[in-house]
Amino acid sequence: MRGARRALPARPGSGIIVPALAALLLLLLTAVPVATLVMGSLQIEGRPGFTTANYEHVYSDPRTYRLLLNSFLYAVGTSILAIGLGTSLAFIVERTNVPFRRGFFAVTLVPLIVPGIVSTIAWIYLASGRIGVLNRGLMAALGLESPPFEVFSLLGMVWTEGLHLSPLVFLVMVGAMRAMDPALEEAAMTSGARPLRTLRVVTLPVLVPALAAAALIMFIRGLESFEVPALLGLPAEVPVITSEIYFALRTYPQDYGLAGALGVGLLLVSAVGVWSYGRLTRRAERFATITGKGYRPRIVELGRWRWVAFVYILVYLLVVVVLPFLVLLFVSLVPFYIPSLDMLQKLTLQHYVTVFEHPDTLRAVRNSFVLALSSATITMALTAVIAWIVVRTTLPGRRVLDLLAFLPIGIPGLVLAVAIIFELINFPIPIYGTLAILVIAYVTRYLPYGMRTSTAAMVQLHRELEEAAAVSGASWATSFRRIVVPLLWPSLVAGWIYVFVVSVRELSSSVLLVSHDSTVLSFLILDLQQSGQSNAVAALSVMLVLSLVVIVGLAQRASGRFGVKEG
Amino acid sequence: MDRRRLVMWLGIVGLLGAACGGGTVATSPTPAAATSAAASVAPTTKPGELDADTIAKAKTEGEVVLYTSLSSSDSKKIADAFAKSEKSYGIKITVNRKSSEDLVTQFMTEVKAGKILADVLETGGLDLAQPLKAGYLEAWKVPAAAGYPAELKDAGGLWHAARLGVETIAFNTTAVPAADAPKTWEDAADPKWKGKCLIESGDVEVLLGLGERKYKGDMAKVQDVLTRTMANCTPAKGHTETVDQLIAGQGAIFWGAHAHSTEQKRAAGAPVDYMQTEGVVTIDGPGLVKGAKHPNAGKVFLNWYLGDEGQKALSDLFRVPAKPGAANARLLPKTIYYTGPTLADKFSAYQDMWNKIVLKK
Repeated sequence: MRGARRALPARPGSGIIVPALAALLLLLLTAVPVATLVMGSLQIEGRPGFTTANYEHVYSDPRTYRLLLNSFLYAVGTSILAIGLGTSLAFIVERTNVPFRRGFFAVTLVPLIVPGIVSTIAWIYLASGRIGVLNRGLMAALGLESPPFEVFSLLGMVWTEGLHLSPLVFLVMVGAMRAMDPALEEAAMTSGARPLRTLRVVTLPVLVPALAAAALIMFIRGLESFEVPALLGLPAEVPVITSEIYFALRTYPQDYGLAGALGVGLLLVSAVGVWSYGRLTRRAERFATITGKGYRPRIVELGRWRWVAFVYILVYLLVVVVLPFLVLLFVSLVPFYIPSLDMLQKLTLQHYVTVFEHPDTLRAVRNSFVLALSSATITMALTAVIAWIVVRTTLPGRRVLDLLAFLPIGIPGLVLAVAIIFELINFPIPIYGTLAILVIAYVTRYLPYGMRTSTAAMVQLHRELEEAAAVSGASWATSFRRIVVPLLWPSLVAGWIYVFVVSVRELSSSVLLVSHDSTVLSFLILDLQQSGQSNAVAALSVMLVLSLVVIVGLAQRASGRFGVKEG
Repeated sequence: MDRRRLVMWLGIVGLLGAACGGGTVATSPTPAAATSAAASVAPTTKPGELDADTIAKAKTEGEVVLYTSLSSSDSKKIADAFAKSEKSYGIKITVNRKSSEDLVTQFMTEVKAGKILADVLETGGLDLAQPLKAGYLEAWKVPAAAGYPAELKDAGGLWHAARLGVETIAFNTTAVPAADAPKTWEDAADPKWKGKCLIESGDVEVLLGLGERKYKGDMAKVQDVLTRTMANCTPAKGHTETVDQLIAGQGAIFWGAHAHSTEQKRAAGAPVDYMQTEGVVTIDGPGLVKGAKHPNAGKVFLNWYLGDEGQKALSDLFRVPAKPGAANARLLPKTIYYTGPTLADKFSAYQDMWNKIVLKK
């Protein structure tokens, strides 16, 4: 029913102003960094004028295509693993009567807060062919000749990143499942379909927009991820685009031209992902499952499968959460790491003292918290409005907005930071060196993620409610605030948590933008790591994990009270 | 509306011009020739001390902004030591701390955008080459560094060494008895290390130091040694991460380890030690920023930092101060191959070789 699309509400006023402002803000945030990237890719440092030499250099080299292929394989593998794990987990925790399901939520999110560098190192200590404790244990127990795992390989990279990302999929899918009207499932069940068939024929197809969005986010995240390719891919000789960009920006002098040309390549590979997403969800009305009828998502009775699902979750938690956390805890408590139980006699709290005595710890924690809070809120508010424009209106240029919100994915964080410094260092309001400039960077970086979550949620929302509101004389603002936002709430919250978490971990833009007063956690971790205090980084990570579990646990209780959690 | 859009686009285009055009920004300093003739020598009352005029002006300025690549906690301790010293004359110190590359990128971007916020830029010698080349540093001979050897300062006073970074080969003492440990850089090329050697993937500076100082620019020799070394070594990322993996047993030797952090681990009881017979020594040090807001306060800091008190403060942090005689002897190798800003022009040849042989590009 494409004819059902309509332009902005009949009554102008707030109906125009807010979306127009949002669109303008989007333009301001993305245009300059993207233009900086493209212009940089068309220039050579120290030479006047424009040239296509960087592109010729990069794209005439067969190695580039190997990098692109590696990036692609790595990103696809990562998303498949993360989607499989995250979705099954979300379904079990959210929609079935598995025992103790409430308790899983906070623990499942643990990997999110662990810095990428730390979780990657944990997996080296677990699954390196030479020193991995899992390998040693299994070889001893099963009498194996050679180690069963080798983390320094493409498969090892996919494994490490895929596990690390699975909680993000879990979050997105939990949001989508909470927003799902069970009437279709009930119809299938009433018609005699068995639970598995219902799941395959009804539940999963209805979740396609959310699944596609999650797959796209994971794919992009995989493409732009850095720690795993650097720490595992380099020794394994599996170079990817991001490691190449890193070297281009770390050489002397920095090669912005090369980084730009590679960044544009990354953007094009990402575009393949967006195109596929667009194909999957092009008939948005098919997925509109949130309608005017009241409902509660139904709980699937698993019967004796209940305990199978329970064991599945336990194994997941053991592999994804418990094992890496134990390594982390061990590293944080020993003076240096050696895979030997003798180290238990050398336990020390020194690294925790180091963290507490560091002059920046408290400030960094406070700043990161404030930043993540504001970036997540601004990003989700902005992208909710933009998603509304893209999905709901027939305005010319709405696709451009979608594209603009997506472009930051191809901009290396460091390039974004350089662009922002140029743009804002002479801004009349002195925001350089403050938290505000970091908020601008984070919102820009995470627009694509916010946009995907918001769009996926928006296509699930049937337009009949807004039409009813418009007919009853409600303004755009009222209908958006009273109808759209509350119905999208679970998905917006999921996106919010996501942006919150990645903001806490953001490093590549922060390294240039933080000042003494605006230092952040990820920067503190880098500082400790670079000064050889890797065990202190583990100690800090342990504390972050524990805080996360407490905060999410509390938030869960609070949101339960406000009715979000009920299902 | 059209006019506003036009203004906005003009603004964006202008910013992009600034971002991409390099020299198009009016306020960027004019490139200075790195000549000693341009240097002004501070008239000193006593050798190694500042003149009264500079001190008086510095007091009026009241503040110095230090951009440094020292770690956060070390830079804080240096700042505290400066603040406590009588020779700071009550001048307030503000520190911006980043890793060398990030610090220089930030500094260069700020200056190109027309904003000079740093008074003193203190970072790795090779990283200092970019601002030097762009003419962003002011020539001033630090009185306290008058006795420093020639290779540790620019003849014209554009930069001085403050601390030294020792790059070496570290080894796991459980896997490698002291007698078998590498004694020279070429030892890592011995086939006995095949599959047992880790190499930091970005350490081109070590190769530069070896090539220019040890092999006197004989590129064929450098290529031969590196190729044979890489027949044994696996590239790894990050100095800290790699030394940790060395200690955990992932490798037996680590080519390009930092002596400073390896020593910290050794002191904590980790089974690790490092080659002390020879080492590549990187020069880290400060330069006075041209057009700085507080040039005299910058001079006060520099003179303190390169003098006895500043150098002792560095030594207290287990760092290797540049001032002759100030360093803990254990931390300095017997044979030293210095790198530094003067070798910057040779860097790209070594980078190319490195990319081919180590990174297999």
